[in-house]
Amino acid sequence: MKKILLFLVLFLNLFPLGFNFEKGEMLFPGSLYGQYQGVEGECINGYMTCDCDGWILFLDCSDPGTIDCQCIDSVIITPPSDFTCPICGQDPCVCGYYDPCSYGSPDYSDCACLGINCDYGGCDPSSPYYDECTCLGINCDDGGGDGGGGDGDDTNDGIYNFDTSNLSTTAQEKFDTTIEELEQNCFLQQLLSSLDSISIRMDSTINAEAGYNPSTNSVIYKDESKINAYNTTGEMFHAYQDTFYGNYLDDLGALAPGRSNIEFEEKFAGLLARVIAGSYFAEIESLMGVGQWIDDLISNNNEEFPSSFTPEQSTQYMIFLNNFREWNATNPAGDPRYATPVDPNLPSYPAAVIEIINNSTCYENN
Amino acid sequence: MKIINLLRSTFFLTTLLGLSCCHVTEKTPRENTIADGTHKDKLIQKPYVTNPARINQDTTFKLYHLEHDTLFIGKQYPPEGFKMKSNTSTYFFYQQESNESKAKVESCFRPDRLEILIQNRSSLFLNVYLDQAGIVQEVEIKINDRDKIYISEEEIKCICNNLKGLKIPIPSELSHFPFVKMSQSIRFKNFISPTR
Repeated sequence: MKKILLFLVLFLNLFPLGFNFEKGEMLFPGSLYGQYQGVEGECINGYMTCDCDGWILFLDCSDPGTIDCQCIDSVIITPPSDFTCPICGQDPCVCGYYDPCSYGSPDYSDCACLGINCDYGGCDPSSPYYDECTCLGINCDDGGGDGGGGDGDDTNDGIYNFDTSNLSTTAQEKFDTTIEELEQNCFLQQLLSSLDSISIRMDSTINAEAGYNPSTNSVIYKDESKINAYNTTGEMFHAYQDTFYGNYLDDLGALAPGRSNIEFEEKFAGLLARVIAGSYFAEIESLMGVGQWIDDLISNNNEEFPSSFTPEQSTQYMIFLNNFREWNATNPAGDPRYATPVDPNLPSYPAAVIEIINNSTCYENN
Repeated sequence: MKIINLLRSTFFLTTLLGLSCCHVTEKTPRENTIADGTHKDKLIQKPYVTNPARINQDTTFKLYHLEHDTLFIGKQYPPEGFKMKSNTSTYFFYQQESNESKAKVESCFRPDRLEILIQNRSSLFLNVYLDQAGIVQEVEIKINDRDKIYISEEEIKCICNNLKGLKIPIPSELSHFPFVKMSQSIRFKNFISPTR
């Protein structure tokens, strides 16, 4: 996250511009001018996040402690008449959402998108242009290795459409054991059964424990030790979202609006699976209260997760989603992808989760 | 008139004295309980206070815990000054511990009492507070008001006491916390009926 912020900080310091933003989007330093309001934020590890009346600012800072956020008046920012974005080449130029891995982007590069030794957007973590999205290969053509969509020859056990032919024997065994663990849960069993063909791969260069590539329908693990129930559930759920929401994920940049909707629903699904299983789960700040709320939803609906949400439940869901975004925007351990603006075009309820649970066997005996 | 006033004063004083005596009478056994050392099983019940800006519960319930369990319960969580190492946690199913926990809850109910909970599709929500070794030190139980009629205070106390000492792995992201809060949903409809 620090590297991404560093990239943004450096980038915008090089190009001091003004943008016309929507409130609720992330703003970045170096480009802002106007009336300062003097709200304070905490400088941690050289970065600080400020919530300026709903505008989230990322600033670099040199000294630990409390520092003036320099929040701007929310009306001012207007680009100069001769303004063009020198790198993004997009209008409006929202560089925070710029995804170099999208075909047609001015800086699209197979090299960068494959994360192989390259200058721009490389995967060297010390590079100021280091980009987790790029290194994860999200929205990238995988350079000729395409077509690994699972032809059925090496599916793990014939029940699901998993192509595990690229895995070593030990990795394959670990994957199978993990799938067996997930199968014990009626919700996750339905999730696995609902998936289209998925290729299972290993890639030590990805900058995450695991990822899902919607362009190649691949679940990717960084190494064998990362094949576990948590990572597998999360990435398989993203794979389901990829089908459920049409091509939405294919075109979704790492920092694009809507990324937070997608990620929050995945966390929600994981918590629901745990509540259904009656297994212990830890309270974590960004999801505080969500597990208990899921328990309430079931308790108040004759022990079944609701098949649709009331307006009040949708409102509460969005409150939790915004808490999740806020925590990730304002905490050093937060992930900027989880802090992206909500996409109002996506449902204000966990639509993919509800679809799975409605088709599951969880409540057959009710 | 004087007689009436005198009677009124007498009645007032008598009532006051009577109430005072009642108060003492009621208080005495409680003090005796504390002196007996059994005060640890006194139950605290409190309504769940929510921040309406963050959560709007659409059910009514209360949280219960043993009176002397104040080491972690009621304290700020996450503990002040402690942050998670990341915002996700790789913990997932602690099924062995979860099943052990369910068995400890189940053991607090007589078969006929358990059957009532199963038939009425009751549920509990547990918050357990672990020390750094992952040992359950304190327990908080959330019970919907609808289900409270099926669960006695003695059974609640039993659950609180039974779960103490259970060891649960702490997610690595939280291993530096001085204490960790974990939760578990107990749904009685999934229990095996003792009468079948």
